[in-house]
Amino acid sequence: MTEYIPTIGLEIHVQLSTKSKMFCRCDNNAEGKEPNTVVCPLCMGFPGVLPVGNATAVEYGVKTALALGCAINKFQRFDRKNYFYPDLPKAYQISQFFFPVGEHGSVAIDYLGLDRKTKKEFKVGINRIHLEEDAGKLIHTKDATLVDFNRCGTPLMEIVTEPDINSPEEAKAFMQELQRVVRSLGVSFADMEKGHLRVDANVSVRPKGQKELGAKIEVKNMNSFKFMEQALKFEIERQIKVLEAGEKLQQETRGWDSKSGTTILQRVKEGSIDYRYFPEPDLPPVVLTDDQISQWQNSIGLPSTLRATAERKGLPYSRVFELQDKDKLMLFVGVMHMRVELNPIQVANWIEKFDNEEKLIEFMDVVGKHNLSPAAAQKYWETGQIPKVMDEAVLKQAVEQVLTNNPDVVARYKAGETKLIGFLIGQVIKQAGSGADPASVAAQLNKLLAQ
Amino acid sequence: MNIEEAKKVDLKKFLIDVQSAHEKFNILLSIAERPGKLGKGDLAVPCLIKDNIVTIEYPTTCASKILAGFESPYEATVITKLKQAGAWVAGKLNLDEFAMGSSTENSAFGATKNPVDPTRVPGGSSGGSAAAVAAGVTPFSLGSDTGGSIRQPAAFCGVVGMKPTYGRVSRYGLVAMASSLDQIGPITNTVEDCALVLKVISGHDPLDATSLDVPVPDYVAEMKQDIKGLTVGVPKEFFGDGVDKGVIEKVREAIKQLEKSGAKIKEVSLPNSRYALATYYIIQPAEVSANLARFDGVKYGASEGTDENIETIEEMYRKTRAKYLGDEVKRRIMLGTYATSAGFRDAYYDRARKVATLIKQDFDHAFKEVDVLITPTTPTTAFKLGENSTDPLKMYMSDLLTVPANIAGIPAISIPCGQVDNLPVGLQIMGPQLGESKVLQIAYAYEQSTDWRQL
Repeated sequence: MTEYIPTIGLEIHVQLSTKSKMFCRCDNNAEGKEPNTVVCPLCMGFPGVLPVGNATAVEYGVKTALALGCAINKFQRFDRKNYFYPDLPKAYQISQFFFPVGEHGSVAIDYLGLDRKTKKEFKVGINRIHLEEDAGKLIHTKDATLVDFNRCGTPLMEIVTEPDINSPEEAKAFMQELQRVVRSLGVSFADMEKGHLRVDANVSVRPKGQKELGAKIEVKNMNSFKFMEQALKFEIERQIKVLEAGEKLQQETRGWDSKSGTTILQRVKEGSIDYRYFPEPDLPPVVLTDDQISQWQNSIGLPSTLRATAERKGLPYSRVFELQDKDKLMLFVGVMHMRVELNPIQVANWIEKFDNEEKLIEFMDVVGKHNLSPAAAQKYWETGQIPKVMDEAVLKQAVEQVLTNNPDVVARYKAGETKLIGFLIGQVIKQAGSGADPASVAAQLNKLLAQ
Repeated sequence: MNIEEAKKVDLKKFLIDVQSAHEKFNILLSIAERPGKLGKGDLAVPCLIKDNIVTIEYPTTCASKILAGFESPYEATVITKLKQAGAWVAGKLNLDEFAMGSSTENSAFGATKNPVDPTRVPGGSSGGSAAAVAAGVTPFSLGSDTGGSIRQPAAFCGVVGMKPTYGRVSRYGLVAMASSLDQIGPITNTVEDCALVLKVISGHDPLDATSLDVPVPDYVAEMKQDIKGLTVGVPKEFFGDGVDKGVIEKVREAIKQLEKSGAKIKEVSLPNSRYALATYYIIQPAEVSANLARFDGVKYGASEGTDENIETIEEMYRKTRAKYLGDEVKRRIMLGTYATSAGFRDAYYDRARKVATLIKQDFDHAFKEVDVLITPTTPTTAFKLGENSTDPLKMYMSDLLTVPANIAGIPAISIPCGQVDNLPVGLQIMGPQLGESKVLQIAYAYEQSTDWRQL
């Protein structure tokens, strides 16, 4: 059988977490609100309204573009994308076509392989990032189609990748990294299930050795990481099967159906739609200064940098990912910065129980100073008391005392009644007081009884 | 009736006079049922507004069947400003549908007649606004000007009409025709009234991102300065083919009059302005095609959506727009759709934008040498009702001399400068960006030196 190479490009919409909408002052958080209650004449496209740009949305767009290695357009402009649809009240969407926020980016992605050990790496080119407003939502009922305009005007960032992704696993790794990036920048809540992060994929396969890409098939409706991975896996296998059967693939749009676990044909593409883009005359261009851009550049902290630092501090890659998943990587790096001598593994072992650097360092100091065993450290964590470690001489004395006081028990033990050791341990602990741990008492008893 | 006189007017009588003018000239689209209240301020007078500026008290129809009875949930910034200055908005005035036309014959609710000669058009698209002032029933009205829609009807009706600098007056609440060209402006009997109204409606508006954040001067005070030493430019291209000899004669006389009053006269050239009308008829329809797409029968206005025989949303769009939009509106939507379509945009829209820049540069050069430019406002005096209504190109020619100011974004006024065959002739004065004061200054000096405004 021929070996096939899949090629995947992603088109991602990220909902920005600004206070107000993209071009009006409506609350940008319409979650759980009654339909058509978070609207105004502006976002509903009433006659005579004018858009006013949201400066924070531009800032968020630029920060994301910088994080994804894009060249920033210092001159940005909004354009009108014209099409009729009932959820688009102005019948044009204000978007950026000619001068997007950023272009020609590249992101290096590293992720943990399926074996949960190996570090895997690949690069994804970013074609462009632009800002736009969201449309409303259609609600189909038995008798009618209703429109909810609440989402109209929500600021969106569209990210288009180059077709640099070669497996569903990579696609998932890219999306997860993107989610971490926008969350760490504070520009989006990026919850896929809630639609803050939406992804469509262009998928094609080609026989190994063939240069030209195969027919590009768009897959939509993948609203979780899991579904995305499943949908891409299915689609790649489906395309290979079609080609293997000697049939041809054509450009089309398919939707993931989670019930059947398949992609379903939605429409066959017949040429592209002409959106008649032209400059939005109601909005002056956005002009950025170098200072502004470098200020934003300097404010950015990236998850990949954090991971690399954690690795440099001596944490194995698998544990780096574990801490990242638990959102403890920042704390880890912070602690290791402040106290270079700490054992990274030990810090990683305990980090889950802490949410600030000072407390964790204090704890690690006590454990180190008293040379606490894992069990003793656990006891200390639970009780807040430093477990007393029994002095060797004191213990020996207590054991001798117990043996002297119980000559008959000792005789019976030596005669073979070994279970009496339990009684003796109890007596020693009673004699020595708390702090004597059973294991060391037993060891001492055995030593003396053997003499 | 000027603004000073109107401060003493009885509002009941005002309404009766407006109604009787409406019966003669068909100026109104809506009117108050009873007298309202005047506030306190420089503009405590009743007034009437072009019906493409949204109001809460009256429907805003844009003279289109698609917006018949449409009630806006908010009001335009200019309306709020008028109220703050004491004015009472008493009603809404007729226009060409969505401000597309030069005669008010494109109104879905019947043409307005010119009070000077009711067999003739009042011009357009702010025909109702100019006719109401010319009929003497309102001290001022507001119009909107995209390619001459304030100045051309002002010229035809023998009144004063001004298009301010693009961005000087907020467009928030003006139903957009061509967003990069539209400006709201006053129509009045006198230059002084024009300056007064302009001062009230001007200023930065946070709701209009294209409005200019520049302080508003006291136009009335600045206007009254002596014009001695100012240079008036006469662009030869505006006195050429297609402009009536009689009109040119009157404008030349006015220029002589200004020279007598102490202005220096200088001939200048604006070579690219001959492309202005062609450029305008690309950019304007392009923006129209997007701006009017929202009238789709889904959210507000007339709709065929309840027709049981309609099966698809596309069919609903088609039937609604076919039935409720007028011919001129459809013509411009089609022109604009074509000019912005893939494969044609380079040749039309993009090229027109470049030519617009050249036209603007011509004006920049000219204003290095002169303070204002003077031309006729229109190539002809008011034409007969029905005369041009079947020939769109002839109708478009009516904006030949006014369109350049919109493309350059500069202020321009039209004031009466005499009559040809008993029909008013308009004198156009254009100034540099934000040069309203100089434009008004020349206009005022001319007005004070003649008695045409008395006619």
